[in-house]
Amino acid sequence: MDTVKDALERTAATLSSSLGEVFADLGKTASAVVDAAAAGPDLPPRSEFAFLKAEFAGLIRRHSGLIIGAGIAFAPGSLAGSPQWLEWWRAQPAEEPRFVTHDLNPDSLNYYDYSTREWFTLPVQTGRPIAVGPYVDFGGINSSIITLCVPALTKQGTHVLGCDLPLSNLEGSFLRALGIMEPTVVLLGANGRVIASNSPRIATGTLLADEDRAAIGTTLEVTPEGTGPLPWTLVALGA
Amino acid sequence: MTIPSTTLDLLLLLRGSEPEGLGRADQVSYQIETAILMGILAEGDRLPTESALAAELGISPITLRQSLASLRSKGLIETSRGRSGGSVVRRQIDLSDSELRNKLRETSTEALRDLGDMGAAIASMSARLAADRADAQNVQHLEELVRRHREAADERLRRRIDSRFHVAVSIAAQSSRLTAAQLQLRAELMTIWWGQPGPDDGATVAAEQHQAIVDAIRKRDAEGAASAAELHSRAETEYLIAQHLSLTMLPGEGA
Repeated sequence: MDTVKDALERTAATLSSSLGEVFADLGKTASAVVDAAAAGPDLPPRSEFAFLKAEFAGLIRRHSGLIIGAGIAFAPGSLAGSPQWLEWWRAQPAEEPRFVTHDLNPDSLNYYDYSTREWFTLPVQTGRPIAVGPYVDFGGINSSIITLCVPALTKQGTHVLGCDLPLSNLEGSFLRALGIMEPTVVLLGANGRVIASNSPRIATGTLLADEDRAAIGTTLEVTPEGTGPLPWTLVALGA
Repeated sequence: MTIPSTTLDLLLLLRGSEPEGLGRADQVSYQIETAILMGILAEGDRLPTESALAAELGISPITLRQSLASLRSKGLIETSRGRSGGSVVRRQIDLSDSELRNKLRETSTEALRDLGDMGAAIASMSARLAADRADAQNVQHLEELVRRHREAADERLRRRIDSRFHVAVSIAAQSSRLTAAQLQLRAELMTIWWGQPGPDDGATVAAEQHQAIVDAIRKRDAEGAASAAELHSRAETEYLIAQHLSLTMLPGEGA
């Protein structure tokens, strides 16, 4: 018989396996960055990492149902000639991904100081892969996303590779894997925000209300293979 | 009959709701199609003369003729020549159930929630201001729309009157920007599925909520009007998300 626990385990397994594949791919590219940094000069120019364009294009293509963009944020001061450098690629229908321009001018109103964003600081601090969000990336994507991040530890500093996962892409696989409307099941991010739920009352991107938090019954952590546990939790309310 | 200037005003306010990347002629076709879809323009309505309409829309007569030609080819309008000539709306647009269902399945919970947040902001502020500013005629018009919504014979008609009601609240607020925002939001909602046709509890609840909004506006109770409108918007959003969730979870149907 299909218990609530079965449904949660099935959903966790589906999410873990899709996310695990993306994390593994991102990890390979991170290793290539580490190798290139070790082989190059002490203060390499951007051109040392020109090979990443094709790497990210491949990554975006392989996971096109899930992610809409990927890229790398270099540790500030780690490249010759660029105090900060963010190289991000966005998927385009039936075309090669396009380069996303971010405003890296500190004097500008739209300055996108990635070195202060959580998706950059967390992997740098912990040295481990992590899923950040959901959050609305104003100045970046401008819609609610989760960023899967992997650090690349080099002699010049820690760069962060990441990819953007819109909540809308995750929702379908969550609902179909879960397959039940009762009881209410919620997938929570580390920041306590709702990533997905099967209840119309509990909307994505919002914080779980106190009375719902008090009703949490069965709980299961989502753990993709090869990485530590995500800070994600599946909870069933009242069961 | 020739459409009244208020209808033309609503048509003009739809500008900006078009998908990106359309040429000017296609934008105007889109505006007119949306107005027909929402019931702002009804079967038998006569559009102003080409030169008058082009001037109102701020486009050249040539561009307008292109728009009208495309509407004609879709069978939405009919144009006759001569002194009493001009374009007349020929039929009502109804999206098919499967078109609406696909749209709702493809629209994510997050997008629906975001649309609902915006809708609640527009509706509650419109109702709040309408409580202060609506005159007797505005209130009478709102009462009339509430009655027509309650008595609507089919779901499609009910949806159109529902849109008209919400736009009328923004008009009663005497705010052209809120009216424009409300219109564009309602136009978007009209393209999304609204459940099985036929009267059900949902329609009764919506009718009671509409009545509560108008009652508060009539009593000049700004706070009450705002909270009644917000409650109604939230209920609409939850209803849409519930439909989206069950469509997504439904096995089969090529999902």
